[in-house]
Amino acid sequence: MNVLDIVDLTVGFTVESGVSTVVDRVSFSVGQGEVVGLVGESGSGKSVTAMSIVSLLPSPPSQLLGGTVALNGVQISGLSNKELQKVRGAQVGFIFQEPMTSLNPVYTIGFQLIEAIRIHEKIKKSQARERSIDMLKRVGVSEPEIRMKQYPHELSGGLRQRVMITMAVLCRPQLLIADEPTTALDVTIQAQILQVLQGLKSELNLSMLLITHDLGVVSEVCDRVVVMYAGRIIEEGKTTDVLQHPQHPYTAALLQSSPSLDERVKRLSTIPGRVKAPQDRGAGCNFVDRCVNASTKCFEFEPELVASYGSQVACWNPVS
Amino acid sequence: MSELLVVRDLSKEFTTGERGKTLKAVKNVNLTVHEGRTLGIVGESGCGKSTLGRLMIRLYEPSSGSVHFDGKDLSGLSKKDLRTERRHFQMVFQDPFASLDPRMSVEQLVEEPLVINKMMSKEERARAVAHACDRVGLPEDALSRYPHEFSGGQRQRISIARAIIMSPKLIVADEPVSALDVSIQSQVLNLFEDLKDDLRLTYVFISHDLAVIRHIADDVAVMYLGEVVEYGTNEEIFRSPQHPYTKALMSAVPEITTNTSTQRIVLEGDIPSPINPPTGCSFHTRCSFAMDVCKRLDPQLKLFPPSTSHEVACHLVNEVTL
Repeated sequence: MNVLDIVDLTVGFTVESGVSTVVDRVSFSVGQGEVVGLVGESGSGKSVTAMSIVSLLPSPPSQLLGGTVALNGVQISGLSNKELQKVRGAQVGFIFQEPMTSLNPVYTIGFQLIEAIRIHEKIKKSQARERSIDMLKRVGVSEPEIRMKQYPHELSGGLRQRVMITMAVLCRPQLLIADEPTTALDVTIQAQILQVLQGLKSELNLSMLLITHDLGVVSEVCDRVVVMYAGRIIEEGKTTDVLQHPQHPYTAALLQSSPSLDERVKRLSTIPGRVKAPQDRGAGCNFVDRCVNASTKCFEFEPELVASYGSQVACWNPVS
Repeated sequence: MSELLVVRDLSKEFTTGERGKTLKAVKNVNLTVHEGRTLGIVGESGCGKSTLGRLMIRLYEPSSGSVHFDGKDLSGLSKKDLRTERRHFQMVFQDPFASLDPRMSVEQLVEEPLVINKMMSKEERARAVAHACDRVGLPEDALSRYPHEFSGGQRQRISIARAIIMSPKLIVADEPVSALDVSIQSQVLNLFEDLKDDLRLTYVFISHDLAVIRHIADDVAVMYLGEVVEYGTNEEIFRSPQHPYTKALMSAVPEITTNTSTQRIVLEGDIPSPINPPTGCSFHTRCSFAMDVCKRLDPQLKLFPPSTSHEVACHLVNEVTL
């Protein structure tokens, strides 16, 4: 059984002119012990998708327009906020990009970790404290006893992110959702954090949904990857398949436009234009005006995700 | 190949809130920017790369050391002379949201440098603005619009138009593509390269992103805690990095490869605080090759033979090659 099943998730935001759909019929799953990467550029809908899993977006302005989310086969979309509180933190852990804004500056690390456990479990403070220290050790925080007494501002960015990870896995969730967990960090610190996440995955048998814009990070840690563009999934498959043999012209173009350390090209290939705003998305493929493979069909009919060489691709004229 | 910008023993200290404590943001940096080339400065946050960029064009006053631009000593110039000289070097900043006045139209923004320097007649200025905007790929109807109407990539084009309208010799670009998506980043990087060829520009390109530096720089300086720890041509730095920090930095970059077996060097710990930097080599606290001497003596940048350009500041490397 999959840990996470998302079917036809559609999310919109109320705007002056009505409702603007930013996530459109998104379906994918995360298997037991699997790390799935959700990639896309700004405005692709990847963060909204992730936040909608446990309804973290304020409503209004956000609206769940359709679709279902299930954890271990149990549907959680449509649950009341009170019921969802039991899911958040306990069954699903969350890590955000900016650890400084996610930690409360006026409480010590220890207070916040112990609180996170005691919200979900009826255990003694001393036990919660012990477990917090143990978990801090596991994610590689040096001198955890001292850290427990410190405030967020006294820690470096890398340490803060380790504290966030600790908090997210304290209640042993089955699913960890990490939204750009290393984007705000320096590259040497990013390497440390990725190592921690991979260690936790095998140690705690975690399933993970990693939201990122960095295809290098995906290549490094993800088993499978879901590529989003303008609110829709346009390609999905095994990481090696998608990154080595991209079939959607957008995935291919994205890979080609990323500069690499290995090879130095004379000129970077580019993707002309930019992502259509939600209100400009209509019939046909959303990528059509930037696509090198576009044909008349692409302007008229929207391609659905179909199986192709072991992956799934939403394109009328995939890269061969 | 003439020397356009020469930096000698440049240092910058900032006073901190605590009395008597100073933060050494840049320490004894020596660098030369050659005309028509791009110098890439790379390092992690707090390494002093942005401070160095600003010192280079005297946006900050150095604590000691000198900057010569086109043979002139910038630190000796009066305010008025400095303003005249500034025409020849311009800056492009990271955040195109913060660096453009939201109340000015694109036309006013791009024209502003000419107005401040009292250059050209009104008609000439209008022509120059239109030309600069066209040159950076802004649509014709952009002139009457305001910054908030543009995407990040387009805003960065406005900043670049502001820089090139003065026909500068040098542009210092501080993380100009860091806030942009990959597909937009490649558009802006290509624009930088086109402009360099067409307008015969020289760049100092500051970035934390090694792949970006690999792509755009001719020469590369790697910084750590205020010091240049390695310098060389693009090929030298990326093909045969010598400093343990440079090696670790490169190995930390997640790359899209099929080869997952490559051994990664994961540095332990955080970058030390520049207020209390380690003694000796500032990298020794995180270096797996650290020797006794590294704790005592700060290594100097030394030529790495047989190259005549590649320089490394590391006791280990310098000792072996001696």
